Amino acid sequence: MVEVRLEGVVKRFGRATALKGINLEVRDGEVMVLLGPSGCGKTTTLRIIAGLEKPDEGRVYFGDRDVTFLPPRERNISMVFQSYAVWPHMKVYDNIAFPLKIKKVPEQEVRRRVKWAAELLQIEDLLDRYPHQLSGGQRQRVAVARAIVVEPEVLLMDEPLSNLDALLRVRMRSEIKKLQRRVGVTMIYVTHDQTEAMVIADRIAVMSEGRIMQVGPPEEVYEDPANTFVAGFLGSPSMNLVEAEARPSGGSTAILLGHGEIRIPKQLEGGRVIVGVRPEKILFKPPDEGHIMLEAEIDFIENLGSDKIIHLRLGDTLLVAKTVEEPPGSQGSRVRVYVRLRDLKVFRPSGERIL
Amino acid sequence: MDPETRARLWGIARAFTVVLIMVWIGVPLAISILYAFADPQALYARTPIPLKYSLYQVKFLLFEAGALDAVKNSVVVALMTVALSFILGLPAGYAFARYIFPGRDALKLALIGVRMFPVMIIGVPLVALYARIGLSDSLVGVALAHTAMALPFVVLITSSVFTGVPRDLEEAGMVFGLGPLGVFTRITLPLALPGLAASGMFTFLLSWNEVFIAAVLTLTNRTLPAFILTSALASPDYFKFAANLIIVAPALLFVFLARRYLVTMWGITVR
Repeated sequence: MVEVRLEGVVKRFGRATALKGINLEVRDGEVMVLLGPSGCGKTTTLRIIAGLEKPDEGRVYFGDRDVTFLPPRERNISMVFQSYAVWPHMKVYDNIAFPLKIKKVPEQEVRRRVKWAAELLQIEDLLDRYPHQLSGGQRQRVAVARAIVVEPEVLLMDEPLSNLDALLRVRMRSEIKKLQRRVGVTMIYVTHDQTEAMVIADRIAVMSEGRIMQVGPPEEVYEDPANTFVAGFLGSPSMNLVEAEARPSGGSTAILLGHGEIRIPKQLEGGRVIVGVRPEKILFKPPDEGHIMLEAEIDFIENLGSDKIIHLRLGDTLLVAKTVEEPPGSQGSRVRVYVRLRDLKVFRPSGERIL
Repeated sequence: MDPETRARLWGIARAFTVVLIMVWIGVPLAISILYAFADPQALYARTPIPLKYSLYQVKFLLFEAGALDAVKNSVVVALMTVALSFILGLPAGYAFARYIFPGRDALKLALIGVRMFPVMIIGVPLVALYARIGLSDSLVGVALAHTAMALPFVVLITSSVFTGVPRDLEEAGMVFGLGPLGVFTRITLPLALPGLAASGMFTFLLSWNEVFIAAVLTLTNRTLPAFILTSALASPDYFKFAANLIIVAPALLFVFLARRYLVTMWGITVR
């Protein structure tokens, strides 16, 4: 177990710059999830931590040890690959035992540790099989068993669940989290799936186009996005982001939204702004605390069983609301909607958060 | 024409084509093998197939005319060719499969370009060269020439075989404690083995069947095709058929053994 630190890591592939200066600190024993759309550089970051790629600039530290140019085998890490990378020419037992055998662990100890890992992942019955005789989920378990059997300082996971079917994915993500708690290893986990990230992470690093946008605990990244990218990427349906006009006057600011006006008791710069509201924060009954009220027309209702997604129209502006209660009207009816002042996020047109 | 009849007609046409191709390849092969065992008199009798058989010509060729020695020479030359071309070609094939470097495509093209020159253009200067450096009429000399011919194929085929080994599996090896050499010997090589075996057999056959270079470079140490070219072909027909059998039998054996791996050899993996 060790803390992992990236300082100013830059990686170029030919003319394209995949990572544009990554600074990240992963604490000892925590689960850090690198989250972002494909091509954001999350896998490249993981591969640099693994030593499978060398950064063009910047440093990687494990504790006080500078590992930037060490080969993977000298880093005391383990990894679960997206494709699992279970060696097809070895039986399950040999796959799990292989890392130990390379480290010249005594035969008896190898057998004990393989047994321990196999029990933990419930694959004791499969030890005598070849990988092609296993299902995707079983192969994934073998890959995880192989990764924990060496008792690594850092456990790296590259979208380990993306090739599993939906049900298995839901089960495995909580199992992986529990496993990490039991083993207590520092884990860095790459995914593009925000739900997976929310469940597994102690902290999430949201990435976009080779940069880290925000790092924080799941609730913080969700409730308190640092910019429009993070706001829009997390949550389903994603946050409503609406352009509006800000007019400062005295100690407060008026924001013109649709044909309504939001008065915010805070002095902001004038000009265009982007207002963000999470769909579940759009209420159909007035709350007790400070709020704004808007008049809207119901455009369309999606019924997802427990949730209803309500598409609203305010003049030219479209908003999406989510509620577990009965919708306040049917298609075409005019309704009043309310948003607590503290649920309103305001961003600059360039994306940074103002309020 | 309704779709059902059309589908049926297509089926018939396809079956017919398959049969035609089988006959085209199979009949001459079957006849030549049959004739190799025909009694010399029966071969010229006016019957559709010979009615009397003997092992005379095959035995004579092998044990009295010296074909057995030629077979031995051929095996030695072919094995040397396989060994040499793999020692030289395997690392090149791996490099083509795994690394992107300047001039990679040009080099790959140049490899095939070598085969552009007719063998005779290489063969005749080789005779002079070998005479000077003392390699004339030696099996090593023939093996070296065959290696030069086989090398481009070995490089291209092994590079396609190595491309078929997923990079992830090698990277997993690196992560779990192996160095570059360990990754190659314990992960890549075992996984590439079936394809490499096929490419080895292919190289073996290339050398086994090569006539021209072998004929001009040897005098007393003939390989099998060179031996047949210079002696058996000047003999009566039944000896020619017997010689044909001796040279074809190993090739047939190869096809049956290699069939399973031939597909991977060309970069397509069927699992």
